[in-house]
Amino acid sequence: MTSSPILSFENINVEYEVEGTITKALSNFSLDIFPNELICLVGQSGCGKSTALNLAAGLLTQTSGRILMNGQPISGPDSSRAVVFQNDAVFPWMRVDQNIAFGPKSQGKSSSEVSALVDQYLGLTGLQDFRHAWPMTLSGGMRKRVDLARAYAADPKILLMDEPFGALDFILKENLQEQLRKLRGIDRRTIFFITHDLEEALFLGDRVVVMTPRPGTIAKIVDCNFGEERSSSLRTSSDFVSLRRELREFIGKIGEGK
Amino acid sequence: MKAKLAMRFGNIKPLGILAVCLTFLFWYSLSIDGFGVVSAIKFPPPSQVFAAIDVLGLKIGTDMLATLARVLFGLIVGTILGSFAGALIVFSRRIGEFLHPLIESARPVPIIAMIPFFLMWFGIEEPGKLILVTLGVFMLIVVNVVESIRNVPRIYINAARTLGASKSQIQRKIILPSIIPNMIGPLRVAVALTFTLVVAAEFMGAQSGIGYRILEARRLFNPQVIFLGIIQLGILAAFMDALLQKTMSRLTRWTGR
Repeated sequence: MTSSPILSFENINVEYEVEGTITKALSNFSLDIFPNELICLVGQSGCGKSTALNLAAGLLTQTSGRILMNGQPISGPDSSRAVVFQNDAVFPWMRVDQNIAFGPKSQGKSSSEVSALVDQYLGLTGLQDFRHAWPMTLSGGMRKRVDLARAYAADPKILLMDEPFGALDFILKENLQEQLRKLRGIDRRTIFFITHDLEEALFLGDRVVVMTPRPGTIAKIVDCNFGEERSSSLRTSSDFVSLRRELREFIGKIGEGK
Repeated sequence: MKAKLAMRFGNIKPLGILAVCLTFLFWYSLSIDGFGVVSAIKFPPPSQVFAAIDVLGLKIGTDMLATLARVLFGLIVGTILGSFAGALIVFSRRIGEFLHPLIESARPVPIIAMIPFFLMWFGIEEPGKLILVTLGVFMLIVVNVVESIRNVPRIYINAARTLGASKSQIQRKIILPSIIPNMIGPLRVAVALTFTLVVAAEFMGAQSGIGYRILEARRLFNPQVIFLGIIQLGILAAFMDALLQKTMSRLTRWTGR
């Protein structure tokens, strides 16, 4: 990576107080995210990976350190860093197309621009036939696609995904992973993807960042050279399986060390 | 579809119809000899009550209209003002701190206790009645709007912020629609409260309205007109509740209830 990072965490520390005890969520966390890459942050529950994402979104502030977006310190959330949350965040009082239009509309785009974006992402996520549906009539997997389409349509510089497929069953999860990877053939947006699922991280990521248990810090960064186009057969390929095994053992070791 | 239709008619089942018939039967037998508890003369049979319709004539319509107008005014103005005040309390920390103790201490006071003041200030003129009713609805709505806004799931607000929505866009497009389902209960309570307050206000002095007619009938010893007034109020209240439910179910189609 020769280009300059789009998002940088510089020596981030996060501490918070719960009922009198101070907990350290992140410790000396430094990471550069480069344009057009899909970077996965993987770690066990409670290791502070969601904290890192919320910091990047501007929904949390660090105790010390700096977070730079294109060299500028971030202050609060904005549409250059749209988030797809693990929990269902599709607005139930808006129809599918209204949900997708929410970002561009809020940003003051003209109605023709808005409808072009809505059409584009309805198409890319396969939701054309559900344009006027109420979210409550859709399945969990479909709502997640609405959520993805809505985040893309907001045209962020970097997409932040906080275990977006965590609550879905494994078939649906694998389907969405494949679709997300496929979408990159058309829209190579920078994605910062948080997950506790090692296989998901390896399947999706151009790079995978492994975190230590709390207080979270970076244990290892791995390049996943599995090519641009990835299909389900990758999951059983020997390279994939051996990298997965290697990292699984590594995570086991850092877990014991703590 | 069948279930939907049943909802529209208030879900009336044969047992419910039986209950209404039994009530009429009880009423009728009570009016014959009062079961030895109430003197029959103070307990008009259904036939006399219906006969009173003829006696009152047009006044039935004008009374109902006068009462309905006061109810609608209090309900609409009180809800609008209460919603604005509730939103201000949540969105502006200063205004919230300023109004909080005032509203919290005034809220449990029965508004009816203020009727003598209203009489002193406004006499039996219309503004006194309208302000009384509006104030009652206002107090109820403020508290519920504050609670509902505080209960809006954080995830919707955070999602909207990261999609580029401004504060006022979040208030209009996220918070407002998401509190509406929570306001159905309080609004139904408000309808009932409004009728209570309007009748109380009409008792304190008026030239029209069902409450006024009931009070007048007591003075003239006309129990059948009192009964008729109660029935008129029942009809109006049921109508208002149905109207409210219909409006709300349109506004909350997305919840699928």
